[in-house]
Amino acid sequence: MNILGSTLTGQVTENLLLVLIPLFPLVGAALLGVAVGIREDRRWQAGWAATLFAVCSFVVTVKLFLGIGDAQEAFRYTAWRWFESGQLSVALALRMDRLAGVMTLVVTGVGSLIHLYAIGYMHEDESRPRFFCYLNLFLFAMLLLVLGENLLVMFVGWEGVGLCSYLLIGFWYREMPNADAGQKAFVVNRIGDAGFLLGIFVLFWNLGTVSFPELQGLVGQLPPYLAETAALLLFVGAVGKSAQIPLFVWLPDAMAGPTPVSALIHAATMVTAGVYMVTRLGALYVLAPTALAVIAVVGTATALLAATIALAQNDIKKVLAYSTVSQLGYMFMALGAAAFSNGIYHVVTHAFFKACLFMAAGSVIVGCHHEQDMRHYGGLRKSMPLTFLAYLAATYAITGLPFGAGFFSKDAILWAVYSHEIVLFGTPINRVLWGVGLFTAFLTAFYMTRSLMMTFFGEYRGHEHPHESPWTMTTPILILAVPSLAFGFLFGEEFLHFLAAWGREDLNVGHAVLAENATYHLLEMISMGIAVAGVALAAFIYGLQPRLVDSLLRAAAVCRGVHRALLNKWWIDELYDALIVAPLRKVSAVLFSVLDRALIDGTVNGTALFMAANGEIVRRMHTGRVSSYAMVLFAGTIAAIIFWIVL
Amino acid sequence: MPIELQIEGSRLLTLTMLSPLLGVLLVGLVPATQPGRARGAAILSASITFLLSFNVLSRFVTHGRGFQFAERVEWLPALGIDYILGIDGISLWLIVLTTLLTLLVVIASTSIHEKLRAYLASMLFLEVGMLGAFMALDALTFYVFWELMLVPMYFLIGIWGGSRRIYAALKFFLYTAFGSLLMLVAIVYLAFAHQDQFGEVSFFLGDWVNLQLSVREELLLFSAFALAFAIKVPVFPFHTWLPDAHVEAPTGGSVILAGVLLKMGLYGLIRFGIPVFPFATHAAAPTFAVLGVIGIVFGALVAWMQTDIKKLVAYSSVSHLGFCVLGYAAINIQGMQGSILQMLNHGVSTAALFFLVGVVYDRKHTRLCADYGGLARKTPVFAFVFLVFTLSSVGLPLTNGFVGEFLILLGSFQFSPVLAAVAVTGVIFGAMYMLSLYRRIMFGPFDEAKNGDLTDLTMRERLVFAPLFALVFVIGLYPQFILDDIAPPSRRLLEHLRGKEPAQAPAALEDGVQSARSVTAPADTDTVDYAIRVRTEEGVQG
Repeated sequence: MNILGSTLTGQVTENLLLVLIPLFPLVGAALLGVAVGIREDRRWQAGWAATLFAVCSFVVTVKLFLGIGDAQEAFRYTAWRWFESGQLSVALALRMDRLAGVMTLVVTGVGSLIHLYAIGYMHEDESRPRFFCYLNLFLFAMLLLVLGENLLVMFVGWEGVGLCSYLLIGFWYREMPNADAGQKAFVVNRIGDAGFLLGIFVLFWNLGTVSFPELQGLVGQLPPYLAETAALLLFVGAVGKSAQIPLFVWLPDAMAGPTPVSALIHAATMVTAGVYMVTRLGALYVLAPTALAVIAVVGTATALLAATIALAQNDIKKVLAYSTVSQLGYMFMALGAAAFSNGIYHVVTHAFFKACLFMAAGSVIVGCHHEQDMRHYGGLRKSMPLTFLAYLAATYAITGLPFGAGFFSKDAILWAVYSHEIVLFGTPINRVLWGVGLFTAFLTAFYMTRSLMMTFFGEYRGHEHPHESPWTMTTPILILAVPSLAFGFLFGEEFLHFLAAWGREDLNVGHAVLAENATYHLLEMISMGIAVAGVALAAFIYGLQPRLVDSLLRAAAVCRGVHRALLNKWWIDELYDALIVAPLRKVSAVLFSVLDRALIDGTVNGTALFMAANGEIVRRMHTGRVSSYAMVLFAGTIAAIIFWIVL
Repeated sequence: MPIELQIEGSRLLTLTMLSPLLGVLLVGLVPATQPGRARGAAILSASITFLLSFNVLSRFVTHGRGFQFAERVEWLPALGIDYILGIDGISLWLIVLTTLLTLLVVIASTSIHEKLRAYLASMLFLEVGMLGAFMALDALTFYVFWELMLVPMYFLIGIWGGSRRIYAALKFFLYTAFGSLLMLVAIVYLAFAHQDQFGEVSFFLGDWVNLQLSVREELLLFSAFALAFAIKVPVFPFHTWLPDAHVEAPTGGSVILAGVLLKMGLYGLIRFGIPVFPFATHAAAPTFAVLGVIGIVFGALVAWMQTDIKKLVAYSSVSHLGFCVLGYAAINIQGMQGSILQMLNHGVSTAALFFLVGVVYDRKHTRLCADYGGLARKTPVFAFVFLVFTLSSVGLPLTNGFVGEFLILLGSFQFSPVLAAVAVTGVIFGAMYMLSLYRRIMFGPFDEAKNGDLTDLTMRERLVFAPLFALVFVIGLYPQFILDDIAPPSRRLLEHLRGKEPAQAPAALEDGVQSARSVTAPADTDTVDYAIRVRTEEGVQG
């Protein structure tokens, strides 16, 4: 098993161009930040400027990416030493190897398209300069996260994207729920960040460095329990950022932000940061089998839980949000099987089809005059044909129907989970996880087809007149529809080979070889059948028997109960409120009123009163004479100083 | 640990420290009917002081030995009292922070209408006290300045404060005066102990370092110092004077209180506690670490409960200072550097936050969050500046708050992973209370009837925020220019502490008479080894 081999021996070239990649969007953000107050008639320029900076960044990325030779090569750029203390030395440095290159391409490429899309989506909003300022700032932070040469630069980006997410979720801050959602996202993410920090501490104090290439060479020296600890602590960070159980609750709320934000931050890029980080530290994680098993279990459970909730949502963005949580769960399943490159494969395909889905949903929302409830859609394929085509393609990809992008990447994950021994507490669990993953695939096919049917088929159930969106919106969606369909078919194998250093050799032989493996063939057939079944069932119910669900709900109390549970998201938010937030509030209130005010301050004031009441001298010192005491001291000191100056 | 004085003839420190008195004089000469001129005189004076401190900064040699710009004058030779000043990298930046904040406070004094001249004079007197305390190397000189600070602050709260100002001022005064009286006793004891051992009374830190104290003596004396310092920090549970003082104090008073005075306690522990009481510092470190962590979590949770903006910021100071105490107690280079850097960062961001509270208070005369809401739309510049300092306060990377907090947590993790794990929750709670504050003031619907007359930041206010705003990012992007200055003295202090862990002193504990230091004398070779090792490491890194 050749894992994460000898990246240390590779050739590292300093390259000034590298700094341009995050610099473009940073400059853009700064310029737009200065221009937030520009005249109304010039605000349309903001979106184009922001898009231009994103595209510039993309162009530089492509240029550099093509220059990366073999797996060991990397570009590097060091801005300056950020801080040092003792043996800790942190450079603000960037590094682009194949893995970072792939992520950078996705971030800047999909990011540019979403910027373009946002021009159309936001064209009526008076705060456009502020919006695009945040959007560019987000790109900057995300690129730092991806290109960071060490854990701390990654952490800068990590927190930076959290900030932008906060600002963008609460972009329409006059509605308090939006502001609340932003705050929830930031605070929940910070829980993860706390774990991330502790993970950094464990690595630093045992290996003496925070730089990725150095860590890669040194992690072998960690005793197993420390490797497990560090891996689990860092995974806490990933759980927060990538919305896994138990910290996934912020992501559905984050849909309060404008839809381009949901597409860019909460689907294509930021939420996959956790997957990227674990992959980046793959050398550590392969030394921590228990941590990997935990990751696999958390990922699988999240995939399943979120998919069940998505079944019953009526808000189109909520469906996609839970779908994102679920797909992120798949990515962590792959990581849990140490199939890092397969995880990144799904990150990339997911970026295509989920960004496409979100933007198409945004197009529908705009076209239906800001209606998000799918019960008020229907038959939109006629009025919005381009959006329909894109949504159809992306749905095809995510449901895992044959030869769509999701088909390949999801199969790669399921195969990795099936064939790789994952042991938790002495029990091999990979077959169970595989089974759950397969079932989740069925649910995915079902709920995505449901949303497709409810939105684009049947009769229109809304009141406003729906219309197709402008070209700035439809173009990016249609562009993304292409790789959603064809990426896996055309490049899947090359892609996995390209990232071979981040995967298990035995999992990276590609479909050509695997196709001759009878078991693989069988599994592929099964998952294909599952996808078809899910699509067919949803198409049947929502296309042909629209009353079926209602009559089921009326007929059986069990169905009603399950439906209510799903609709209310298993009451997890309420559970957290009751178990964590409310008690914490109560404890804080008690700390303040009882411990701080009554006990401590009461003691202090009581002592003072006691003295005042009992001691004649003390009384005089403490009440009447303080100011004179002060004056004497004051005057005396001044006198002493003057005394000294004069003499 | 020899205290080396690099004596210099220029008396630059004395000049800097006393320069605010010129302002006092000028302000006194202006007639009461011309507040503008009085303010102008004070601004002029504070600017001169700031420039003088900048001169000190520019002439300071980062890797210089011992204490620079030192001055030593016999003051009251009969009593062995000298006037000794000198600074190292630790005091250097605190001095610059002091002169900067005083200047800004004086510029922002437009909201003071009554007894303006007295206000300005008090502020300038306060500056003398603060600068003197940061420069003094002689315990009695230090004590004089320490007390000197107390008095103007007492007046600032008591005269220009809010409705419960007398209560708050008295509480502030009694609390801190109580602590410092015990310290005075300890100072006198040490001076006479020096006489017993070396034949002459001395208050000089450099002489005290050579004192032979029994473990019991050291612990008792350290306790007296530590109590005074702990109250000043304030360390939980001696913090209850702080919210009262802050809430009642005028904006300028709060800024200086949070920005500079709170640093005085920890500065004392570092400047006097470590050199004179190395064993006791070790012995007390776990206690301080635990209290620091309690302060972090407690301060944050209580801040979360506040409805008064100023009180919230006050309790956030308890939390932030908890971080500083934790870093100090970690007794390693990361903790020490982080702690000192974080003191400066707290000075920048919390001072700014108090200024920001002052901005809305001056306009609407209320500090309750509930009276605001949706200001982001009405006053965008104010909202933006507030956001930046909020982020700096929660320690977002690339703002000044991050590196200090990170180094402290990193250092404390080596000291105790469990404590660090608890302290790290401060990162979560910090985001919770600061963002909820921001949300309540800035987001949501805007009440046109109630706050329709709110205006955005004036030019004067922007001028006040500009340097602090710049510092947030300058320190955030390149904290090294400060860390470089802090490193040599921190390393010296840690070398001094090395080999003096309590574990090495049990023999002395059993045999109370025997000198603690003589027991561990062989450990000195260790110290040398360590010093060499540190240097080699540096060499490798460089």
